Amino acid sequence: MGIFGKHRHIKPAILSEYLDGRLSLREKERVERAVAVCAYCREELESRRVTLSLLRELPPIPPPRSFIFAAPPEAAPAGGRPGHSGWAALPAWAYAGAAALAGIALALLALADAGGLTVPQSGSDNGATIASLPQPAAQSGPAALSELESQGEGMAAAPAAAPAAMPQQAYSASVEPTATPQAAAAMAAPESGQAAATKEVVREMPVEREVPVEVVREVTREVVVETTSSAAEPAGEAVAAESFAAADSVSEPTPAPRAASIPDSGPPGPAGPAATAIPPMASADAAAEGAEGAAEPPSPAAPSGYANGASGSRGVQGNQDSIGPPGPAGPSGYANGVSQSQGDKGDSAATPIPTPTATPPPTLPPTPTAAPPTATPTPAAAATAPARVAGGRSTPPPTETASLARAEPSPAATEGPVEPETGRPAAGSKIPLRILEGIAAALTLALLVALALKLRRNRRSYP
Amino acid sequence: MAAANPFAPGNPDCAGHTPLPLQDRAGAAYCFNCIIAHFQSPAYNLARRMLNDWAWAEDAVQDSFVAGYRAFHQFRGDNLPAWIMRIVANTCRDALRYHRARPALPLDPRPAGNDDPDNPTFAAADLPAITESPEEHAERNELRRAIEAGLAALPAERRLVVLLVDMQGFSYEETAAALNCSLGTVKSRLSRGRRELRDYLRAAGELLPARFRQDD
Repeated sequence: MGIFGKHRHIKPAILSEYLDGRLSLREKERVERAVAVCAYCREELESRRVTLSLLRELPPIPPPRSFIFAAPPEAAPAGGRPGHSGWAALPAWAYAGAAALAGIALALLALADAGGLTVPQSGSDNGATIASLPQPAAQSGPAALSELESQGEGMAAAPAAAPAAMPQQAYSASVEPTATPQAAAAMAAPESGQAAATKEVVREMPVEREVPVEVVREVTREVVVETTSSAAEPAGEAVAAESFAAADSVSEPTPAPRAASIPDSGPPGPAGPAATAIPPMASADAAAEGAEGAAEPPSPAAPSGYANGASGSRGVQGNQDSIGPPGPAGPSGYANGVSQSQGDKGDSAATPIPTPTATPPPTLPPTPTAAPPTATPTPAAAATAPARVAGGRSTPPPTETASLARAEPSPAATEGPVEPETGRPAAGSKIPLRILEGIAAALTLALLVALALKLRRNRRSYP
Repeated sequence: MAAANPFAPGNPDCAGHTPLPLQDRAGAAYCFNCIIAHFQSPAYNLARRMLNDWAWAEDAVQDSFVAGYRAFHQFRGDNLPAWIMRIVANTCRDALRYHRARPALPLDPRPAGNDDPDNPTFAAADLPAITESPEEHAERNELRRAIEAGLAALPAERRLVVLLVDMQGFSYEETAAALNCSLGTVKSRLSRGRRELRDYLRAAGELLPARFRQDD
């Protein structure tokens, strides 16, 4: 009986045990009382009793033959059960231990990745890479320039402009194609078609290269010294573009609004532009190319060289080649680069330039015939570009280069492979780490599956 | 231990076959042929009821004894019937899995109920006994086939428990040891197996003899 006097039927398992005589005396009496008062329990018990009697009446089947061995059976084949390879013979604890180790390794990798331990934070190590060392890489430029300044060849007036150019040059070149849309967007003069084409070019840009910082510094010193010493050689615009592109792929585009006021003090010497432009260059091959291009003098061809350098990613360079001679494209790229930097900088970047003289640099040959699609500077760009140039009056192209170098990466450039926080391509130094994580995860999964199979087999340890 | 061991080499039953001495994990000596002679009938019955095929059952029993001989050094000497039946049960599970994955039909199917040498159509064992009328003999065969069909309809694990407890006379504890499961699992499977068998026999009540019919 239940709590409130209501009958509760006997459980079938209890009835089975009652039939097998396994209940205690108290439980047996309870079942008998329930059967006496409850028709359902009585019928249930009787039906089970009949079924059990039927089962027990089933006659045994005599074996068809004797299974007695006439001779001892052969030994078991080596390797355990047929169909099981040798690895299945390992003890279960081996699988469990291996799975645990793999899991711990995976957890450590995940923690290291989350805590940034796997990304070096110091730039003093030789093994550190430019890609993984944003801040020290950006500061290497000022160091090289200060050393150059100590040499006193044409860089005397450029100590302030150089630091600004170093960290920011990275994306100024790649941004150049988008400079016109950027500036146009800022100044209400958009060019959507060009922006789309620019995005395509930016996506095709080469990803960062990993070069030790020390190598970059060495190359930077060499290039700067060579540039300052041989300032009279002809300019190589393609080389300059290469140098810009290389610097683009390496340097860190951390925002530096205060650096916008630096170009006003502009490098006075002809060698200034090359010196200021080259230090950010990080990759060894690009540095070697830049060593050639860095020697270009401020000849009449230099502005176009600078302009091409400003428009500098390799994809953009190729685009200009398909359009026309690179020389005439210089002013446009030059102006666009400036407008880009202006548009990205915003107010903080533009405030130090008080002179909005809308005249292109005097050394830039205005050749509108060969102007590429990006060559027609918007009024805003034309207004802002001379403002930049006006600061470094003695050598406008260098100043332009410095200001171009400070351009931040445009939103178009940060799309896709560029990380929003650091501004460097996302598919960089973390790729091997993720591969390791994937391998560890796959190994863990495989070992767990093997352990489950092994335990399942061990559960039936009887032969 | 060796003195109380009924399967020790040299016991009286050992005279009828070739002695096959073995030692278990504790070092106790056994004659494995004596073990086979003692357990071959319950082993064959279990395999026969589990597999519902005399040939498969024969193979399963043979494989079980061979496996038991090879693994006898792992036997702890505690419960030999449970150990032997566990081997047979595992072999039957493997055979069921194997034949479920590879279904086959005999090329020369025999009539239903006469598909094994245990029950030939006109064998002497199938002839009516002198103490049994033809009707009673027919009832007995009909009941046997109904129960066997009901057992075959049970899930394999429940069928194993029902066969071991109700037909082999194993206790719950021995069954739990033989099937490597808990005592509660044995109780649950046994209760459900009996209930399902009862339901099956109720559904086939018209085929049962009148004295075995269970009215709803």
